[in-house]
This record gives sequence, structure tokens and C-alpha cells, in this order.
Amino acid sequence: MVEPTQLPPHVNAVQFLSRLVTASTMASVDGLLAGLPITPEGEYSFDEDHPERAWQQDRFHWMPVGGDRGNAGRIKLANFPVNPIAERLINGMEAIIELYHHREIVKFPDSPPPRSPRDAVKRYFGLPSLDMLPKLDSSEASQATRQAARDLARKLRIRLLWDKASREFAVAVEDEGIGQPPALVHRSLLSLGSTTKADKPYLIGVFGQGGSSAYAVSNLSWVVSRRAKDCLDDQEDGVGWTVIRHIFPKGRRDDYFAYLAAHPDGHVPSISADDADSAGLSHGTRFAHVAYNFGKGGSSVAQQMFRALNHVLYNPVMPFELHTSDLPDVVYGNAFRLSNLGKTRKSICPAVDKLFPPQAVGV
Amino acid sequence: MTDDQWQMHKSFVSAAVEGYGTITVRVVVLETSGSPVPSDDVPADVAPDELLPEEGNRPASTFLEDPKRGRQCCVFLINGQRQHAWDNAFIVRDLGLKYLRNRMIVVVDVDGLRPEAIAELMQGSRQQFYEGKVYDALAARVIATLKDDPDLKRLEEEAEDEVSNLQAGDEAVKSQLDQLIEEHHDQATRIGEGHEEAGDESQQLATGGSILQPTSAVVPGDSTVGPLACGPLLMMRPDVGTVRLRPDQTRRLVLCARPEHCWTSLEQLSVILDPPIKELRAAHTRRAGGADLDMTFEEPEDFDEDEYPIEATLRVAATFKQYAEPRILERRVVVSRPRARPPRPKQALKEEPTFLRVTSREPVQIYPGGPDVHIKVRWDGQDGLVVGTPPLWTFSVQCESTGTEPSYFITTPVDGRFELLVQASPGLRPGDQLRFSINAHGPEGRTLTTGVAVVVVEHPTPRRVELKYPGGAQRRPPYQLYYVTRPEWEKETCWDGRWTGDDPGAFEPPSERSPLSIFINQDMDLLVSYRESLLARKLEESSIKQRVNRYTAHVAFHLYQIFLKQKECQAKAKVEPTVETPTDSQLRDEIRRVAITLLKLMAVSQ
Repeated sequence: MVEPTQLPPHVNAVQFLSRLVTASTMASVDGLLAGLPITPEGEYSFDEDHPERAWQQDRFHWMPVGGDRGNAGRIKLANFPVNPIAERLINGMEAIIELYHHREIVKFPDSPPPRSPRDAVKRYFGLPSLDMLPKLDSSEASQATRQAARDLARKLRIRLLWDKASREFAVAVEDEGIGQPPALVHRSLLSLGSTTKADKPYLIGVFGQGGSSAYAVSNLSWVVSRRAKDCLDDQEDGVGWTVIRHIFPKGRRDDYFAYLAAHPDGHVPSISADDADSAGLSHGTRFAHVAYNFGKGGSSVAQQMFRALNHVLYNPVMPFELHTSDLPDVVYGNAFRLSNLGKTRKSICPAVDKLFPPQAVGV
Repeated sequence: MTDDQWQMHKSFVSAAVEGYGTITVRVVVLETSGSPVPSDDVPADVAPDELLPEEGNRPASTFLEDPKRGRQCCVFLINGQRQHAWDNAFIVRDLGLKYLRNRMIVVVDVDGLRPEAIAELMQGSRQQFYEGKVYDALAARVIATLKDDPDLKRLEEEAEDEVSNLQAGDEAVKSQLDQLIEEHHDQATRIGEGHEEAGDESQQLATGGSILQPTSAVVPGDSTVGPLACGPLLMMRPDVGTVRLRPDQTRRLVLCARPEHCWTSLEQLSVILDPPIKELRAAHTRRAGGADLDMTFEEPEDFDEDEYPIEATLRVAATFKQYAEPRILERRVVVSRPRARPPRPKQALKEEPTFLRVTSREPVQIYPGGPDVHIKVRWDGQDGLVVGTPPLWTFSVQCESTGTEPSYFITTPVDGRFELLVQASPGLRPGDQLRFSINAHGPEGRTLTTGVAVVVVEHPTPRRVELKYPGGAQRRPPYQLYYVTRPEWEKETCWDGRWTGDDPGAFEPPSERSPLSIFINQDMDLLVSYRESLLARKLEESSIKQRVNRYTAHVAFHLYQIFLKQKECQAKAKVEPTVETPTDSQLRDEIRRVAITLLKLMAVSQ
């Protein structure tokens, strides 16, 4: 019987967690991992039918993301740096919606699910499609709606971090959504193609692999997640965490992406709820992608990020904050920005802004 | 604000949805921040139809992922996330809105498509849609919705006007060169070759002139107008039946070919007014995709207003390569008395609307398989009356049809104006009559009603007709243009001596046996340097050719002016011996100065 590998006595869990959630360079993550008992990639080869084979007790092991050694083809899907970030943000939006939906179900078990992601945002946060926000009047109710949008944006954050010494970018996406209990992290956040969303019309993703493309455009990623206490559903409270990296097996061409596992069944390492509380980590999920490959973006990456996110998430179902400097920018999408033309001193109204009613296609 | 104000535009129930489901299309055209292109960016010798390289300071730049290219100005969204995009080539190619390409943004929300349709579009890579059947239908719908949108067409015309103002100097040169041609007809011998060049006794259409001659021509029409012909049609935009003018106001029409690409094979184009009216000018300027026809009635100071209305017939004839029969277009022209009309006060919109009416001219025509028809409708109800759940007022539309019933939609009112969009659905046949009743339903059973007739007509096809049409008699070319290169510098055709690298050109006055001869030195030192500088900048071959052609035309025109001045001086000298005629040496210096100035200007402004 293999027991899950624990952080103590190797490291102090609270200190480890506090350092992990601020790690933004390869050196800082490698430094953290150096203190852990990790079996080298060459000493453990994942076998789907017998994952416990060659497993070394009390050590962490690199296990293929999604439990599939051939996962590279389903992870290397990005052709532009911004797309994986957008997918991560979409996952964050879904986590926030899921949190409120879960709470609704607890209160009103017979409540029908929202018909769409926008319907969910309207139901739970009272928000219209974001491109309609600038068209609201100046009444108190409208101001309250705008404020609600601003408050909601604080629940989903993307941070662009630049380390001058190592010349590395890191992208961190943090949501205050439902989060995952440690026991489910490997089946949800680290799954590939096995979506739990297909029967949930209020969620966005379908393929269950969009966010994973971020692993391929960074040297290394880490994830930390904690389920909201009122949504545990008999699961144990605590923080699940892991590190994801690209593995190039010696003498083979089938590179793959692997995460640090604490047990042959795929469980990720965990930290107790008390330690998580001590580290100040509440519910939600944080992904960080370290040494992110922005191509030749250089110092203009921050500026391009705002533009690109507004374009890829053209009219997102909810806003989010982009932290590139001290003050965050709120990203509402280009559809909002177009509607906002003429509403500020610096901009002028468009010559035409026309919305056609629904048009039938293929009739 | 009502709690559901933001549901506006989406509260309307469209016609029964079949096929792949529905999409919503939003189009935004940004205001220009001044001139459409910063003036210091415009090369002095840029051609009217030349596409300048895209830069990052275009109005739409800030809304593009990549501002330095026209990338992704049309986006397709699923749950607000961009899943596919088009660049601005589709605005030029599919919508024909070239001058809006840097200002226009299209947002297509495909959330209304059926799950199976979305499943076909979406790929695991999330990079773009799969371009299969659903995609084709989606693309066709987006284009049909926007293609003939009246607001977009209006903005395109306004933008064209702005661009034409930028090119005013260039147009003036062209106009004067045309004059040059006209004034030298008498000394010409031939005008063209092949079917354009008739014998001594024959006459030729599309060359101007007033001799009525029977001919076989091709006009746009349906099956009742002569047998079917082949080749392109000559068309006009907007395709009005009567061109209405006001004094001293220029109206611009666009002459084009259908199919549009045939315009490149245009050989000759003539525009005449019958009867000729001396105050009425119709100047045409050929461009890459068509010709601008500017019509102006210049009212003389002593003009008696009782003479209005003035009527004439505009006749346009064109010949295209490989097609001997000219293409003819005729339109009635009416000049009406000036109307002093104060600007209309903005209509006050009411909480209790009192009328609903169609403002498009009836009968509205729709072509099977063509773009959507936009029927303009007005009411005096406040825009907010139709938003909210439920809205205070709703619109409904009924269609009576003698054949297939097309899909139709109503847009949201803006300042009391909205549109009924009728799709040119498959199954519509020429001759079908459609009658739409548009109703506005308010509280307490209040109803406002209006109606509009739509006729399905077939696309005009080329029809061969026999007619008598005024054309030009055989006439001679106005001048002969010769190009001189370095090996020919030894010939003594340069003023009173031989050619050098400093000479841009020269002329020889017309004689009984030859017209005015204009010589252009293609190997002038400065011109060679200019050509090399264009090559060094890796400009397109066509751009280099256009710029060198422009230089050549300007120098040729200036030589013509010098010739006129010389002629004038010679005439005066016969009467007044003290008047001096410029010597060849003086003329040589003048054209040198002109050419140097021109080339320096063209080089500096780039």
C-alpha cells in the first residue's frame, strides 16, 4: 500500500506554500523543488496499467499530465502567446460561475441551471453583456451595475511579471472561484480532454484542454488550488499544488508534459487546511507559467498584452484585472471599448455603430 | 435605466429559424481623426487607386491585435471569445468598401448557432473555424448583411470624396491633358488599332462626337430587351433612373463594369449629354475599379430661374477588349431650381408614437441570390420604448408573397429610424411580388401600421440591341509621344541641338504632315536616379511604373503648355513686332527646371 508523499518533514509546509505562490522565475521554482525528494525522470516511467510500478515510497514523481505519455500533441496547440493566457482566463471565469452556481444549488436544489455563460453572469452578478455597460444611463441602478462589474473583475486577475536579472516573464492567473480539493486536482485542472463541462450550459469550454496549452509556451508551470469551504461536498479541505514541466526522455522523441505527483493514483501533493490558512490562502486557483515565451516581444509585451487580451476576449462574459504595474487595468474587451467611444473626453463617437438582429444562417 | 436595458437589440423575435441557427452582426465605423491618411504620409505622385502600406495610426488600429496590419478587424465570437477572424481584405474585396477598410470593425456573435453547427466550426486547436459548409453559410450571411447597407455605402461615398479632394491637383492635370487631346484632333491621323480603328469612311462609338450612327450595342436589361449578349455590362452607382442635380452642386456617380474585374479591360469610355448644355459639365476620371463621373451645373449669374427644370440625357458608352459591341448606359438628367432649405430640426421622439412609415422608395427591388435589401422605416417613438422585458412597444412583420417567403428582420431604432432587412433567400423568382406589413404594437392595444412592396427582379444581363447612337467620326490623334533613350541622343530632336543627361524632354510643333511631337528623355540623369531610388525601396513594379508614368504625363503636359505659349507669342509677334518669342534655349531651360522640381518633390515627399 503506497502512502501519499507529504511535504513535512522535508520542508515547512506554510513556508513552502508562501514561497511557491510568489515564485516567478525558474531559479525560484527550482530552488523550492531542490528541497523535496523527487525521483528523477529516468527512474520512473509511467505505466498506465501499473502506475505503482517503480514508484518510490516517500518521494514525489513526475507523472504525465492527463495520465497520458502521448499528451504533447494535445498540449502544443498555441500559435500565439496570448491564446493560452486567454484560455486560462476562461477557466477562471468558469470557476467563479461554478462557485455561485454551486451555492445556488445548495440553497435552491430545484433551480434550473443558467442557459448560457452570459445568463449565469446576469443571474449571479446582475451584469449585462459587457458591451452594453457603456450604454447604460447615469441612474443609480446603472452606476451600481458598473460597480458590480468592477468588483467582479477583482475576482479574476492576471499578473505579468518580469524578472530583470533572469530576463524572464511569468504569467500568473488567479481566480477566486470554486477551486478544487487536493484529491480532485489531477482529475480536473490537470486532466486532458476529459471535460466535466459538457452537460453544463453555463460554462464555456468543451474540449477540456485549452488552458493546458500554456504548459507548452513556458518552461515550467505551477498550480495551487483550494476548494471553497461551502462547496467541499465531503471532500477534505486543503490545498492541492503541483509543478508542471516538459520532459524530454533520453534517447526518445516522444516528449511529454508531466506534473509532480504524490501518489501513483495521480494525486497531487497537498497541504493541510490549517497550513493553508496560516499561509493566507483562501479558495480559488492560481496558475503561474514561468519563463513564458513571448517571442521577440521584449519590453513592449506589457503594452501588447492589454491590446491582445482585449482582442482575444473581445466581449468576455466577465471582466478581469490585468496587473502589469502598480495599478491594475480592467479588461472588458474590445466590444466594451467600442461602445465606450464618445463617452470619454478623449474619444469621439463612431460614425456608425449598428447591431443587426439575429440573422438566420444556412436557410 | 430599466433592469434589462442592456437586452436591447436582442428582444426581437426573428422569422422562423431553420438551417444552422442565428448570428448577430455588429458593425462599427470609426470616425477619421482628420484626413483619412496623414498628409505627410502621402507620396506626391501616389495614384488614386494605389493602396498605401498600412501603418499603426489608422483609426481602427487600437482595436486590432496587430496595429500595423489590417489583421482581424472582423472577429467571430463564441461566448465572447474570438475564435476566428478576417483581415480587412474582405472589406475591400467582398463589401466593396475600400475607403472604410481602416475604420471598420465587424463583430459576429455566433452563439445563436445550433450546437452541431458550432461543433463543426470549432477545432481542438481553437485557432480558427473549420472552413466547411457551416463556415461558407456563415461567411455568406455576414457579407449579405453588410454588402448593401445604406449607412456603410453613405460613409464610403463620403470617404471617397475626401480622398478625391486629396488628389485634386492630380485630377486637374488629367483634366487638362484631356483638353490637350481634344484640341489637337484636327492634326491627327489615327486613333487606335484593331476594331477600334475604323476605316476612313466609318465612324466609331465611345470616342465622343455627335454623328448618329446605327449600331449594335449591349445594354443591361431583362429577357424582354433583345437577345442575350456576352461580355461585361456598363453599370452606374448609385443606379438611379434619373440623375437629379442642383445648380453649382457637384454630384458624383461611379461608372463600373459588371463583373467588376472586367473594368481592367476597358478600352474607351465616352460621356455625352444630349442635347449638349453648355453650363452642364460631366467630367469623368478613370480609376482602377471604375470611373468617377462628376456632374455639375454651373449657373451663370444672369441665369433666369424660369428656365428650370433643365433636362438632358446622359449617354455613356464604353468598349472593352475582345468585345466589339459598345456597352451603352443612358440616364435622364434633371437640373432643378436651387432650393433654399433650412436645416431640418431634429424630430422630437414621443412617449406616445403617432406614426410609422417606410421611407425607402417603392417598389423596392430584390435580386435572387443578391445581398439583403435594407428597407428604411421611421417612427416618432422614443428608442427606449422597444427595450426592456417586456418592452412597452414591439414590432411585428407579416409577409404576403406570391412565391417563396424570404427571411426578414427588423433592426433596433436609433433616433426613430430602423430597417427591415429582407434576405434574398433561395427560391425567390423574378416576378414574385412581396408585400410586407410592419406593425408597432403598444399598450392598450394601440397599433401603428405601414407597408412596403418588394418586387423580385432578375439581375440585369447583357442584352444586344440595335440603336442609333451618336459617336465620333474618324479623327486623328492630338499628338505623338516619343520616348528617347541614351542611344538615340545623337539625333537632333532636342530643341536646337542634341540630347544630354540634363534634358527631360522637348517638342516639335505640328506640321501639315504630323501632329505636335512630344519627346520624353527616359534616360535623363535625375529620372534614372529617381527610378533607382524606387527600386532600392523595393516598391512594387506597378507602383514604380505608375510613378514614372505620372512624371512623364506632367512633363508632357508642361511641354504642351510651353508649345501653346510659344504659339501665342508667335501670333502676337506678327501683329506687334516688339513681342519676343521664347528661344529654344529658353524653352530648354524651362522644361529642365520643371522636371527637376517635379522629381525633387516626388522624392522628398516620400
